[in-house]
Amino acid sequence: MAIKTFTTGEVLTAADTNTYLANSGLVYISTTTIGSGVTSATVSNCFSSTYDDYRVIIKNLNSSASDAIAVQIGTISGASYLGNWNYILFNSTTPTYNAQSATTNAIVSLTDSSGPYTSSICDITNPNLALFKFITGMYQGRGYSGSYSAQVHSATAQTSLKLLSLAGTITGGTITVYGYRKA
Amino acid sequence: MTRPNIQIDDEVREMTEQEYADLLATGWTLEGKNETPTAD
Repeated sequence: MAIKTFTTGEVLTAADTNTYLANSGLVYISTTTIGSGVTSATVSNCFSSTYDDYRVIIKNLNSSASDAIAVQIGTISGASYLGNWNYILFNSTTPTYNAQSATTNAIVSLTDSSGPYTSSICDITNPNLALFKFITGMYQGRGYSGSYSAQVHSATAQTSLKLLSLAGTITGGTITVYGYRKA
Repeated sequence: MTRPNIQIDDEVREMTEQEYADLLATGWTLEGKNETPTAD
């Protein structure tokens, strides 16, 4: 989308409105509010052919256990997620590097049992295409900040996203999905 | 024992016995390890 600088007194036409205002880069798709005591939350039909790539904001999760959460793209589970997740404690200078587990999908944050202190933001590419998918993001949880990435070795197009608690349950928080406008 | 909940979009319901068995098979526990998890 081209950039246009409007000037004082200029007539704002419908065409300009549609082109320069409505067609923003990120397009809102949905927000799911997480219920009480769930071990997973699925967002159905958030991926489609309308967009190739997506921004996902997971925030204010209140976990019952200090452990971690992961995401799963559609029905792709387990060993298909290959990558790393890393973190550093707020008062430390020593990073820790981990391989993405072959059994827990893509880990996207540590969780904290003492309050709504888990948030994670990631980009997901190709979820609805017949191509391998990629998850890349950053998080803050339990005083740790970190980054993560995973290559998802499946070329099957998917339509949904699932958030999983690796231990304990989650109450509250939201999952918001945006699509990257293609043109 | 009451099984934990699962959420699909806005619906929150108790897991079925099969869903709970599948969850336990992943290594899930009610209590966290209370330590920073490491890779398998």
